[in-house]
Formats: sequence, structure tokens, C-alpha cells
Amino acid sequence: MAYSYVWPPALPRAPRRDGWTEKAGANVLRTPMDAGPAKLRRRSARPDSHQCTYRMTTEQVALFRAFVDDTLKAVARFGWPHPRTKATVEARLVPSDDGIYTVAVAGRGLWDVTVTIEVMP
Amino acid sequence: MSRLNSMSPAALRALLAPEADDDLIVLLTLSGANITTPIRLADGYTQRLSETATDIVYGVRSRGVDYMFLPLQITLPDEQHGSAPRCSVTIHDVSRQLIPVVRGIVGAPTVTLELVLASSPDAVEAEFPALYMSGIEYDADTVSGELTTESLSSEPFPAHTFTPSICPGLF
Repeated sequence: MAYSYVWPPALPRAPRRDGWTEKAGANVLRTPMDAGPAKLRRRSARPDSHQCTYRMTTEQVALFRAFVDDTLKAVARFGWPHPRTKATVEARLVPSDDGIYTVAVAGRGLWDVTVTIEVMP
Repeated sequence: MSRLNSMSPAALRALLAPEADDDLIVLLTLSGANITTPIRLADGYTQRLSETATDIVYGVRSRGVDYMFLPLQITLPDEQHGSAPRCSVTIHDVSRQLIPVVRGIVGAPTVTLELVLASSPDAVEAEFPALYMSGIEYDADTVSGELTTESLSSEPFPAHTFTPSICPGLF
């Protein structure tokens, strides 16, 4: 695996327990038939998608923004600590209609940063 | 003879089984017509062919040759008696590598289609050689064309005609 950047050590290593979901699987083609059950065919592997919400301080949010905007340019792959396996995996950010990440107030000086990350096959 | 007769049981299972854990991948080779290096594409991938810090290339390695994954929409040739097989292909040129090549093409490029199983990419299940791509159209995102074979039925026979210059005794 070749990537030039890694998740900054100063950022939280794991997302919030109630702010993480993982979607995994493969590219499967499902074709309904005129009669009988649908046919399934496995096409290929697909990236695992992780919806993560990290609780960050104001300084960590600034570091995260610099990492995404200046280092990754929002497209580069990076080494990311997998929340479940704890291994460093090759991942990249997934944009949505609302942008790359969202920041919400969580408390005094605390912020919830939500981002979607996919692990490359 | 239908190509289904020459395909392996595993390939037939991938085609016909209600749940198939294997997939037939189309390998497309574009050559000739002023193309210096044959372009090899696949409509699926089994592995990473190369990777750098900025890019990953997925594709299929078949018989020691790399076929780069690009989304393809292809209609395979039919097998009608009395007419040349025809099919069409649309290549989603997301990497923008094909359009400069297409612009430099002189003549109809030769296209070879091969079907391989994702689990055994070195074994060719079916091959459609000696196709020619014509009617090439392209835009910012796609390159499309018709694939045909050389139609010998439209060639004149015999090659010569009886004219006074060739057969003066007839006139």
C-alpha cells in the first residue's frame, strides 16, 4: 500500500461510539427475473465505507481542517486507524452533497466532526 | 458453433447459476491504426496493477499482460448465420488517456475481445478476434464505436471483370 500521509497523531484515534457505522461488502449485481428468485453475481470488491463522528477540541478541528484542505487536498489517500481492527489501513475521504466533512457544536470548546471515509480494496 | 460449447463449466456456472460468486470479465485490446502501444482495458478488476502515492490503477493481469480497469459497456457479438457479427462498445474514459489516442488514429483499429473468469484470468473462456472499430465518437467522458468484422460477403467475386482490355477476344 502506497500513501504519503497518515492520520495526524494529535487527532482522535477512534470516533465516538454512537457516531460510527461501517458498511462493507462487495459489488453484487442483483437481476430480477420474470419468474423465480433474482439472480446474484459478484462483480468485484468494493471499498468499505465508514461514517465517523469524532469529538474534537477547537485546536484539533483546526488541525483536521489543515490536514484535509492543505495536506490531502480532499482527495489523497492516507493511513487511517481502523476503529474496529485498530490497524492502519489505506483510506480516503468520501465527499457528499454537503461537502467533505461537517462540524457541529458539542459543548464548550468541543466539536463533533462528521466525515465519511472509505477503505480502499 | 456456439461459444457456450467451448466455455468451461466454471464459466457456464458464472453465467447461468442463480448465485454466482465468480464473474466474467471482458478484456479489450485495441491495436493497429497508428496505435504504437496496444491499449488493453478490462471492464472489471481483480487486483491492483500499480500504485503510487497519488494514484492506484486497478485491473486484471492475464497471461502476464496488464489490462487496466475502465468502465466499459459492451454488447457482445451475436452469432447470426449469413451476417457479420456486430457489437458496440462504450468506454468511460475517466482517465482521459484514450481521447488523445483516438484523435491520432489512422484507419480502423483492430479490437480483440476476450472473456476470462475473475478467479482464473489466465484462461480465456471465449475470444472474439479480428474485430474492427468504426464509427468512433467521443466526448469529454466517453469513447464509443461499432465493432464489426471484415465482411467478405460484400467483396466482389471474381476480382476481374470481362472488359475489352482484359479479354479483347470477347468483343
